[in-house]
Amino acid sequence: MTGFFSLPVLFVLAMIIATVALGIHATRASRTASDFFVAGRSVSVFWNASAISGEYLSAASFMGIAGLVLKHGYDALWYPVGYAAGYLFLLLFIAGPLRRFGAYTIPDFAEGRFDSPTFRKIAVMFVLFIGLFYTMPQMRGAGLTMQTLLGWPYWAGIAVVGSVITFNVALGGMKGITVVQAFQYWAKAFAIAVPVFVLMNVYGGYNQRLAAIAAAPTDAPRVTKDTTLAYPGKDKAPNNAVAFSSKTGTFLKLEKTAVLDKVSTFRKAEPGEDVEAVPLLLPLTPDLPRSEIAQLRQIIISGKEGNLGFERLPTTAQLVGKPFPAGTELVALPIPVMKSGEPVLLNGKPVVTAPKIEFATPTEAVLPAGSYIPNAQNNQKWISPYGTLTGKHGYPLLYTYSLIIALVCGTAGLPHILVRFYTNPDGRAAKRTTFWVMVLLGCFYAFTPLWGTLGRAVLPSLLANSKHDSVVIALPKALSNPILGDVLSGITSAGAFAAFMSTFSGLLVSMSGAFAHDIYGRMLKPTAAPQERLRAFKIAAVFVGAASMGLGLLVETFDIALLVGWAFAIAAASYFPLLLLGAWWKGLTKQGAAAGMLIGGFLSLGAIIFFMLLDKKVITAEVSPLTRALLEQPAVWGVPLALILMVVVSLATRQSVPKDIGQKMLRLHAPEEMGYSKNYIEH
Amino acid sequence: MPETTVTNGDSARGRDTDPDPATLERLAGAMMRRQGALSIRVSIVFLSLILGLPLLNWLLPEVASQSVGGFTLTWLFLGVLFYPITWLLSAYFIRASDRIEAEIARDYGVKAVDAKENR
Repeated sequence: MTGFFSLPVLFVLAMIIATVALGIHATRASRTASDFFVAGRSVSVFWNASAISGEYLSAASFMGIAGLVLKHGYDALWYPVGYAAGYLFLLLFIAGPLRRFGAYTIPDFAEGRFDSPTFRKIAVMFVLFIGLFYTMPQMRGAGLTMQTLLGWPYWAGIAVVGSVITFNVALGGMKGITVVQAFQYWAKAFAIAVPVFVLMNVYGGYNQRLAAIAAAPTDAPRVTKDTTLAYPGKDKAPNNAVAFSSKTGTFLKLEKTAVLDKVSTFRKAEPGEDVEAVPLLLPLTPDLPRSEIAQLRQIIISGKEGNLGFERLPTTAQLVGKPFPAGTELVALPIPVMKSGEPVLLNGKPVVTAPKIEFATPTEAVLPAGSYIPNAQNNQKWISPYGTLTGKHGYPLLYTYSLIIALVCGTAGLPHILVRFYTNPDGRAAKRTTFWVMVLLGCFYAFTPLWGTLGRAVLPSLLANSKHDSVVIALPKALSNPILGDVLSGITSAGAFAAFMSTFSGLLVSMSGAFAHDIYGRMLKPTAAPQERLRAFKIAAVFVGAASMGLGLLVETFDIALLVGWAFAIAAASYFPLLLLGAWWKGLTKQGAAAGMLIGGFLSLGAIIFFMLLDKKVITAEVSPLTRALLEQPAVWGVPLALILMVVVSLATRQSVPKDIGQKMLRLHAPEEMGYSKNYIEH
Repeated sequence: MPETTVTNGDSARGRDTDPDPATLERLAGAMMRRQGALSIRVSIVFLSLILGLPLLNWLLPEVASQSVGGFTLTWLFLGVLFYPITWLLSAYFIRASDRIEAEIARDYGVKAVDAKENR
C-alpha cells in the first residue's frame, strides 16, 4: 500500500503529467506578453467560471475542511460557507465595476483610481503578503499528502510538488493555466464527490451518520482495534499533545522509549481549584499493577488514602523529563475538579477533567481496542454550534462573527482571484461568471463536511495524533476491499494534488506578475521591453516558488483551513476596503486608502503572526483569552478599522480627490454600451 | 452571452454627443445610486441570513438542534441549503442589475441628445 508503484501514486503521477502536458500544450498558443499575463482576455463564461473555481479550490478546500469538520464538527461548516458566499459579496459590490474599470490587478486599480503611481507601489506589497500566506497551507497539504501516501518526510513532498508547479508556471504563464485550472476544477469535483458515494454505500448516508451522532450526545468516538500512533516531539507542538478522554481511564502502551515534556490537565484550572494535587498520569509498575487502578481511582476521587498510600504515586515532576522504556504502560485517569475539598459542579454534575501529556521526543504508542480517543470531543459538542473551534478561547460568538467577516470580505481581496475577472469580455460577463463560480463552488463544498462526518464515524483515530487533515486520503484506505480502497484513495490523492497545484500556480502567477509587471516593469526598469518583462516574470516565479517552499516547511503543525483563513483575514482588512470604497465612494483619497489598507492590513498580519508564535510557543506571553481570540481572528476589528480609517483620513484630505472623479465613477459603473469602460493596460 | 469584443474606451469616447462634465457627474451619481441600492438590498438579505444564524444558534439552541431527516436544523441550513440560497440571491441580483443597466443606457441616449440640443 505504501510502495512507490502503488495505485494511489500512479493516480497522482497521472494528474501531474496531465497538468504539465496541458500546460505545455497551451504554451504553444501563448505568444505575446499580454497573453502571458491575462490569457488574452477572451475566455468564455463557462470556462472562465471553471478556471476561477479550479484556481480557488485549494488544499484548504479539498483536505482542510474535511479535516476541520472531523475535528470540530459544526463549527467548521462556516469555512466552506464563507469560502463560497464570499463570491456573493464580490458579485454585489466589486466584480462588475472592476472589470469595467479595465485594470487587471489590484495595483492597476489602485493607480488608476487615484492617479498615483506611488500608491500602486504600496498596494503591490499586499499581493505578496497575502500570496505568501496563502501558499503556506498549499505546501502543508503537499507535504502531508506525500507523508500519508508514501511515508515521505514532510519536506520531500513540498520540494517535489513545489518544484513541479514552479517549473510549470515559469514555462506556461497564465494562458496555460486557464485550460489547466478549468480541467482541475472538474478533476477536483469528481475526486471529492465520487468516492464519497461509494463510502456512504458502505458506512451509511450523511443524515444517518449525523442522526447516530445526535442520538448519543454524551458518547465519544473509540478505537475498534489496537491502534499504533506515531507522535512527534516537542518541536512539532501542539501535535505532540495527547489530551485523554475524561469519560474513563485510558491506557497507552509505549512502543518506543518516550520522554514527557509536560503533564497537565486538558481543562485549565480556574483560580482556587486544585486539580494538580495528585498526578493523574501514572506508569504501571509491578508496585502499581493494572488490577489496582480502579481502586486507586476511587481513592483519588474520595481523597482518602486507604491502604495504597499516596506516597507510592510519582509526582508530576518525577514523570517529566526522564525516559520511560519501551513497553511501559501509562494510565490516564479522569478525576473530578476540586475546589477547597469540594467537587466543582456544573449544572448539578461534578466537573471532570483528564490529563494531557506532551511528548518531548518522537515516539510510538498503542491505544488498546475500545479506548476513547484522545483529542476528540464528545458527540454533543461536535454536532452543536460553539464547540471546540469557535469556543476555544471562551468567546464563541465573537470568534464566529470574526471568522465570517474574514471569509466573506476576504474573498474579494484575494489577488489571484480578482485577476481572473479581467479575462471576462465585459462587466456583464464578469457577473455571469461569478454566478457560475458560486454554483460550481457550492456543488463542491456541499461534499466536504460529509468527509469529516464519515471520518468521525469510521476513522476517528486520526484525531489521536492530529492527522485529521489527511482524512480524505486516509478514509478510503480504511475500506475492507484493499483494491477499491486504493483506487478511491488514488482519486482523492490526485484531487488533492490538483488542489494545491492549481492554487499554488495561481498565486505564483500573481506574485511573479507583481514582480515583473509592477516592481520590475514600473519601478526598476520602466523602459523594459515585453521580452525583458517576460524573462523577469520567469525569474521571479522561480524565486517566489522557492520562498513558498521554505515557508511551507515552517507550518507543519497548523491546520490547513486555519492557515487559509488567515490569508483571507489579511485580504479582508487591506484590499477589500480599498476595492469597496474605491468603487463606491467618490470621496476616497489616496491618503485615506493607503492609511486604511496599511494600518488595517499590517495590524491584522501582525496579530496573526503574533498568534502563530504564541501557538508554537516560540514566544511566551501572558495573553488573556479575549485577546487571544482577537489575535487569532482579527477581521472583526481589522475590517472596520480599515474602513473607518479610510473614511476619516479621506475626509481630512478632501483636496486630493482626483479632478476627474466623475469620469472615473462613470468608467466603473456605466454599462458598456455607453462607452466609458476602458482597458487600463494595453500591451 | 453576446460575444462582445473588447470595448475600447478610446474609440467609443470619440462619439459626437459627449455631454458636459456636470451632466456626467449627475449621471454617474444617479447610476451609482440605483445600482448601489440594489446591491445593498441583496446584501441585507444575505447578511441577515449569515449573521442571523449564529444568533439563532446562540439564543434558541433547541430550535437549532431540531432534527430534520437526520440532520439537525442548523446543520441542514448551513451545511446544505445555504449554497442554493446564495445562488438564488445571485441570480436575482444579476437579473435586476441587467435591467437597471439597460434602463440607464436607454435614458442616457435620450439625455445625451438633450444635452446637445441645450448647448
